[in-house]
Amino acid sequence: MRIDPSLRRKILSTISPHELLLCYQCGECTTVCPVAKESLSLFHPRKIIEMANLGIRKVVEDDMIWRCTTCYECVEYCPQGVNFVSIILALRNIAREEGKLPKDVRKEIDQIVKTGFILPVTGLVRRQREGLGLPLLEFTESDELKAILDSKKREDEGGKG
Amino acid sequence: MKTFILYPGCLISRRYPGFEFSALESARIFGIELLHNGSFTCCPDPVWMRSYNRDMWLRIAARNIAIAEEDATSLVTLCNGCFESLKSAHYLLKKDEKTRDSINQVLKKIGKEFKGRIEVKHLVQIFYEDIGEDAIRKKVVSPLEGLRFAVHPGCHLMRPSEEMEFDDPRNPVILEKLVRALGADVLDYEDKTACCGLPIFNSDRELSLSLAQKKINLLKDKVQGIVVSCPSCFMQFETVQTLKREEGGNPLPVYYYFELAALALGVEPEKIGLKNHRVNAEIIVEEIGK
Repeated sequence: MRIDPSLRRKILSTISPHELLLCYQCGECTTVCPVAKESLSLFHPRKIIEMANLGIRKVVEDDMIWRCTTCYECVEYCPQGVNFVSIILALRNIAREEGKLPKDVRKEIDQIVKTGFILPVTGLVRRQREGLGLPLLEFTESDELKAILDSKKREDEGGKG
Repeated sequence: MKTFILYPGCLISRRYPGFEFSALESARIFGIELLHNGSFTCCPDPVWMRSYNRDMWLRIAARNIAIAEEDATSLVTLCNGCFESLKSAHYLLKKDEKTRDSINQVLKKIGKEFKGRIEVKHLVQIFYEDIGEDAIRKKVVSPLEGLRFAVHPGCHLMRPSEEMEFDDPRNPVILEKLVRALGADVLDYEDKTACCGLPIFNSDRELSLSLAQKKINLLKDKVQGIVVSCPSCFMQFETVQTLKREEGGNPLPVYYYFELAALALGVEPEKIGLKNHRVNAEIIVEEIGK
């Protein structure tokens, strides 16, 4: 297991430090987690916090962090008030910066940035909306979206923003 | 007539327009008008956009909230995902001045500003808090008597409780109270709060579906349907049954709460669109009024 202090520093700089430092490894998060109930070898919240806290690189390189559904059960039960979902999101942001992102997630993000929505308006939906007397909601403000995201998108792609 | 700004979201407006229609019609019966606005984008997706880049997520969400603020009325969502995304952004922007200032610098480029003047609500919340169970009961013309449902409130209707401030995060009861107000019976069951699994469909399909399958197996043959307040949970519970991963037993119909409300409140069943479900859902129409 490779320990990388700079990874730990990076994690602590993106979330409020107490999220990690207050965890005393009781494992309540893991007990109430619906995904961990399916398979501890696929998803283990307590271990993810432990690895993040030590700065073990495997935590951002492994597929495990992508299996949190963000259901927030653990957040409601944690005796220390640790927000595990916030840790997961920080780890995923770091993994993405390092070029690791599930393929289908990339497709969805591109679709939102390009068109404003996850789904296109199909002919069927257009007919259904017309039939029900619902407005078509044609989105014509892609320029606005571009204006607020442009610098950000370039940073993600390795540019200077 | 009370008016709110409608935030329809991607899945409802672009895959399940029948849900949108049912929600609008049900609200109108109680003198509530939900107004469309063509400027909104995806909320955006609280799971993947936030996993990809939290700052991008916040910029897009803040723009949507700022649009609604121009009309100074609550922003009403029809989906748990949109509810959490927008409400979480709203919470963060209100609480943290530094974040708010930096987001407002970005919004300035398009002539918008987050002021924090309005609230973000789910239509379920409007039905429970603004209308109330008694008023709903009084307007029901086709009570769903003789039908028994299980509710799946879905995670982001009430969690994280610090941000959502709605219902009990460990033992939610509001959705089932609203189903009872339509005349139906509701089954209480263990694991009511367990996630449908949809949020990890894009990263681990098998694991995602096994979460949904577990719930379907638990409820199958015990109730006439499972009631949700979120189109993502709806899609997931239908998908897992359409794939027929397991043989045997009757399929379990899935209903979006406002389809049932519209049905009980007297909206024409054909218009609600139960025929568009992938798992036969029209079966209850014959039961009603027997």
